[in-house]
Amino acid sequence: MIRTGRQIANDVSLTCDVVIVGSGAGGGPLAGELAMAGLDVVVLEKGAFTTAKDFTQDWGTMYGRIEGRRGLGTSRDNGINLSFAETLGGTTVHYWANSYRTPADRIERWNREFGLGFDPAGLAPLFRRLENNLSVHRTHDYLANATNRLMRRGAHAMRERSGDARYRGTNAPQATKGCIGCGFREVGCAYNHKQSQLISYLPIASRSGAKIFADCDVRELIVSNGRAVGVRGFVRTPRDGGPTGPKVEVRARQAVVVAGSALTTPELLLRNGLSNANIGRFLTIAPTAYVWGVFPEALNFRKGSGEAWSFDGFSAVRRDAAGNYVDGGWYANPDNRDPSTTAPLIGFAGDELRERLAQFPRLTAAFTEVDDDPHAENVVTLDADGNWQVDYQLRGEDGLKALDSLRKVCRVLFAAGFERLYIPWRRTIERGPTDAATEANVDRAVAGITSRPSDLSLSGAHLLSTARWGDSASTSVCGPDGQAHEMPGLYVAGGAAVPTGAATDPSFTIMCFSLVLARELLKPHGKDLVKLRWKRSRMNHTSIVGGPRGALGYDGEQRRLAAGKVL
Amino acid sequence: MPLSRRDFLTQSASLGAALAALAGIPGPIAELLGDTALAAGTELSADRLRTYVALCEAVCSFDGRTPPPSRVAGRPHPTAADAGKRFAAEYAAQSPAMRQTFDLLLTVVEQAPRTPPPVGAASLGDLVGYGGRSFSQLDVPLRLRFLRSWAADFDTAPVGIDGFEDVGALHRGIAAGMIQLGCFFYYEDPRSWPPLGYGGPWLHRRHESEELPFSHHGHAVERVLYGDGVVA
Ligand SMILES: Cc1cc2nc3c(=O)[nH]c(=O)nc-3n(C[C@H](O)[C@H](O)[C@H](O)COP(=O)(O)OP(=O)(O)OC[C@H]3O[C@@H](n4cnc5c(N)ncnc54)[C@H](O)[C@@H]3O)c2cc1C
Ligand code: SF4
Repeated sequence: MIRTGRQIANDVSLTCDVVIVGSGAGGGPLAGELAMAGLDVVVLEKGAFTTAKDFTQDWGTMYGRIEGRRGLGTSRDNGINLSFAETLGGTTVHYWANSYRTPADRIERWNREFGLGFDPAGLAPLFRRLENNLSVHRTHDYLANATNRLMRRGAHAMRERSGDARYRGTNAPQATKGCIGCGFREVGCAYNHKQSQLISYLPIASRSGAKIFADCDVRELIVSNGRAVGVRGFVRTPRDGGPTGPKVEVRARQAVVVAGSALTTPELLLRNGLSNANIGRFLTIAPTAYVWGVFPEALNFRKGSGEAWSFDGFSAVRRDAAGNYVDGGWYANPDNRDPSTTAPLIGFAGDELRERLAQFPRLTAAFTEVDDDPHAENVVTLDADGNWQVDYQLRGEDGLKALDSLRKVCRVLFAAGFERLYIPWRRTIERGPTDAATEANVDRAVAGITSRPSDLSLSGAHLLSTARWGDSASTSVCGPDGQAHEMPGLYVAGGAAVPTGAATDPSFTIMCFSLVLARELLKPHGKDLVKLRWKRSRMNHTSIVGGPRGALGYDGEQRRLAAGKVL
Repeated sequence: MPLSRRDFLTQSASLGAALAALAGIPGPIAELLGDTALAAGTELSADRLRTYVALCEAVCSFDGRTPPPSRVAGRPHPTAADAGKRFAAEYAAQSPAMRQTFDLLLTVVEQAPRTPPPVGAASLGDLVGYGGRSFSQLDVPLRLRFLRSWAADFDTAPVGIDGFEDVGALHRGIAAGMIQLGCFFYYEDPRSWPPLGYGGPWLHRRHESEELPFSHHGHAVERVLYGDGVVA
């Protein structure tokens, strides 16, 4: 069952086994798995129930509709644009659907530093389950935009030229089914092909009996004898001239799971007076810097999936014998932008901007993402009104990683044939008469950048680690089972739970943590994740075809609907 | 003595020199307008709208090629004015905290050209060049000179504002914020897309207008996915 704010006329008071706050990459899979296994689940989501019909394929409208803070969230010094969605399905409605398993060395690090005790062999079936459930498969070239092909060509040329085998990438595993490569994925798939939580785990949860409420902002934890036993919030749709709608109170017999984003989860915990010193700290954002390239000819730069190929050969840090940073620690992707996001991000003004926009059909973008280390000073705190605010600087080696990523991505783009590049903040690099001269131009331009966010004009879309899991209350907020050290009954899922950056796109890591938590919460019931059967279709996509309590494939359901059957 | 937010506002609204006092204010810039009196209304004030439109006139260009006249028959350029309307609508839809941040940004930018360095104009030469005028009173080239001087400011003098390392970071942060705010609402206008060579959304687009149509385009599906017949 799903209810939106408009459908809730009176105060709501419910009791269930597990209440989940937030329906994104953390909350969605958890709700689906628990509901399929027969638990009584309630999901409270602050965002609206926007669906394919609402996705207009233009950034201006969609930022207002699905993004948190309507697309204008930044760090306090305005140095970093923070990108995340607040809508049913969370940021998975916004994301590119790149679905990478967590690299093994990152899991080892979490076991070593945070005592998570994750067995990689034990996680593999969970990843496989997610891959099947969300129809994850390597993206076909023909669905990718031209920038993907050019970057791959450039990486190949650089590999040949430099002999450095790390100039390589992979076709991204993406969670799509029947994608037609429209390229508007970042603002919601208007065709229901991207397997966001909105059309994957949440419908499974709903059909398995979960009650899902959109437009419900959770503000308060209900605590009894030191144990979290429920949550209170309100419907955001105003009623009777008041600022908000009816009150919502949900009590949970077993667990209260906070699965907001890495910004809103600490906001809720701090607002409710939790005192663990790690709440809100160690924020990682995978700081993202843009490189814009002008190609000699107009190609289909805005047609096709943007991030279909990932330049990930430099994701590991390389050090010298003394342990000093040499290079690496980042990954990069081709992108896809319309004028309303190109013009603001490119950073020029007046005639300088006009000149650059006049090249729009030949202009494309790539971006680099730094695998940033968690630093206690990068932090989410509450402002005077009790809302989150972010302080973030590039610290330690993160600035060096950002500059290294720019140097190498520029090389790749020039090797792919681009004639001019624009890098942050408002710097132009021309191709030189020789490869060596071009590389010298790149190095000179990058050497002029300080590694401060306002000089790099950074964005952050992979928000993690602000209420992380670990075995010690001195370094983490929750135990390896997801339960808060300081409050039994309170659990954290979503990006906030992940102990450090994921070293890759994080959605699959976040979802995997939720499956680990689902197993944990099913244990007292003597249950495990439900066995499902999938079918593989001609298009190399998967559909669930068998499972208990209505967890039947979407395709099957559509057929039954077409045949006039009541669902 | 540190200034209160209200003092800051009273002064910065009356004369740009108050910006120099920024250096003495503890707390981040986005907090400076935390005064509830300012957050009372959801409507963008006429003064701030004027600053915003003046910004768009200087930064953006509708057809991507020629500089637009900043005034048409004595009124703001229509496309910049339209961007102003969209921004005002966004302003109204935003949270009080965001509205305060917008107010602060626009106030600071409006007053800064007549405020001495290091907090206001980037140099004494600039200050003289601006002739004591505020941002929206400057000609377009001078507005650009001001924005670019802030965008390229790497002055490392400490500014004394929590969250900003130095005055250069403050200036670059504000310049980036203003350019982003101007461009986002300006280029949201679909009329600006064809001259730039951008085809816009695929929805409702005729196939023959596409460069390389995919054979299986047209897959748009509505699915009933939720148990109670809700269409996603
Ligand atoms: C543009 C973009 C592209 C991306 N692309 C990729 C990609 O290709 N691959 C990848 O792996 N990752 C990608 N990411 C990152 C990934 O989408 C996120 O890391 C992930 O979705 C975060 O999951 P989460 O559960 O922490 O938060 P979210 O998915 O943001 O979900 C949190 C939900 O909780 C709700 N909520 C918060 N507070 C409350 C409250 N108090 N009451 C009720 N509800 C609340 C929010 O409204 C939100 O819907 C991308 C991100 C962005 C912004
Ligand atoms: S590229 Fe594919 S999955 Fe992405 S929005 Fe378009 S059709 Fe949907």
